[in-house]
This record gives sequence, structure tokens and C-alpha cells, in this order.
Amino acid sequence: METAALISKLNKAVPGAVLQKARFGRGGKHAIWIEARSIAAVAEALSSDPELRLDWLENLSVAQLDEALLLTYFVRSRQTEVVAVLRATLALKSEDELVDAPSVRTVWPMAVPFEREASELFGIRFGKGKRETGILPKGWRGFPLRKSYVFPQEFFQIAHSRPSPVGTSDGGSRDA
Amino acid sequence: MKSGAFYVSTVGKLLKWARANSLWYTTTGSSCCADEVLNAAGSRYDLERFGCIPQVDPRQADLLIVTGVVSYKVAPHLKAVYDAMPSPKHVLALGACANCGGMFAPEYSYSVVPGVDRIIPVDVYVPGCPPRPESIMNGLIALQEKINGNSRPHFKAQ
Repeated sequence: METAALISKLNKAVPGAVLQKARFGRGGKHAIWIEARSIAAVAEALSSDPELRLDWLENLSVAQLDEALLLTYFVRSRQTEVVAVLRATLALKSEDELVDAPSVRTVWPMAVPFEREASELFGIRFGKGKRETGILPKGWRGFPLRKSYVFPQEFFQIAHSRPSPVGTSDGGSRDA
Repeated sequence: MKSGAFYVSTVGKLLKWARANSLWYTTTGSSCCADEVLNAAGSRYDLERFGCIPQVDPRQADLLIVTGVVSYKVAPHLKAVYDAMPSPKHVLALGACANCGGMFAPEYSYSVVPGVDRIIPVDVYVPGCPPRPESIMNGLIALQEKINGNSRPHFKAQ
């Protein structure tokens, strides 16, 4: 299905959700930029439409632009072979503050591991549920994939620094 | 000669010889160096001729081979495995990641421990990314020499 037809369907189902169409990658594909607060409604519309039946979230990737987080949803239908790329941005409030985004796990259950990973590494709170942890160790502070993240000098009493070269004042200690 | 002196000198040597030639090892297959350990244990290189037999239970192992990346999340579990081993126990750090963090240097990675010796004491470091089976055998022979009291020359702090 052409991207224009997809957009017209979305405009009917969720008015005001689509912001623009933009070229995606070097091929002829296009990404549909949507309002971040409409992600869940758009997902529901794409999944329930009988012609689209976009029922499979292939991937959810997150990248940080200057002062915003860019969410990219790669969606596919297992029945109709339609594919779509959805994009939305979340404005960052501050370096260490969580950003809220709607969750799509009720529509696409396979979003759970993606959202959990993005939540831990980028500091995004998907939906209103409690944030789940599983990747980072307990007691970890900060969101390590944000550009503003500064590596602490030590984690759990383990010095996070490069070993000194052999022969220097510290470097031979491992051989002692 | 007193009986105690005979025991310390002769039986001690015998114990060292026995320990050096029966290094039962367990590994932490955390990256591609684990494949090289499998190659070294295979029929071509045959680690068993050095008395090295793989073990899955750390309580039956004398040697812990750390093969690759150790993250901060895994660090306490690796320490628990080491603590579960009976003494005398030895550690072989295999590959650049286990030695110093390797390509996951602390400047670039927030999650990788820059060297397994920050968590547990290491007896022998085997360089390489990944080290070839010959290097692994060389490291094991160096460890056997160390157990026998014949440590190879190494760098000391100035």
C-alpha cells in the first residue's frame, strides 16, 4: 500500500495525528511522522483496520537528537504484507528527568521488551505503569544512552578507569 | 631428616605436581573467546593431555577461565562462582576483554568492567582478541609452571 493511502486512512481514524511524510533511508520508503501523544491511538487504528491489519511490531528503536528522543516503530502485517515506519519525537525536559510516552504493548505485545529496554537506557516512561528493570543492575543511576550521561568514576566499588600501562606506578600491581 | 621436613619438601612437591597436572576448569563463556576454548579442548589441540578437564560445577573446579566481557551486572555472580571454588584455586583471564575491557574500554562503555582483576585475583593473563588455542595452551602451561614454583619473568612496578 502506498504511503499516501496509509496517511489518508490515518487522518480519518485519528485526525491530527499525522504530522508529515518524510523519506526514510536510501530506498524509496517513507516514514510517517506522528504526534507522540497519539502513538497508542495510531497503533490501534493500524492494527484494527481490515485492509492494513498491521499486527506485528518488528522493532522499536530510539535515538537522541539534540534535545529530543526520536522513536521509530517498524510495523508489519503478517496477513497483508503491508509495512510502515512510524516516527515520533519526545522533547527532553532535563538531563535526568523521565520523559512520558504512550505505550503500545496492549496493541502490539511484542513491544514489551523494546519499551523496557528504551525505558532503562533512555529514561522513557511508557504508559502509566511502573517502570520495569532488567538490563541494568539494581541501584544504577542515570540513563546511559542519553548524550548527557557522564560515566561515574566507579560502579559498586569497582574503579571504572583504564588500567595504567605496565611499568608505571600502578601498572605493575597486578603482577605483584 | 625430620619427618616434618620430608613432608613439606617431598610431599609438597608431589602435591604441586598433582595440582598443576590436574587443572579441572570451569569457564564463563561470555564472548567469542569461549569458542577458542572449545577449539583448544577439541581433538586437534586436546587440552586434556595437560590434565585440563572441563567442569560445569565450580565446586569441582581448580581453575576459572574468564573468557570475555564481564559487565557490572554479572560481576557479583562471577565473584560468587569464584567464591564457590575450593582452594587452591586459580584464574585465567582470556582475551583482551577479560584482561582490560578490550574494545569496551571505560571511555566508551558504561557497562563493562575494565579487567576481571578488579573483581577476582588473576594468575595468568592471555592476550589476544581472541587468543588462538596455542596461546591458551601457553597460558595454561605458564599457570602450571607457576603452581610448580617456576614463574616466568614478568613486569614489575618500577
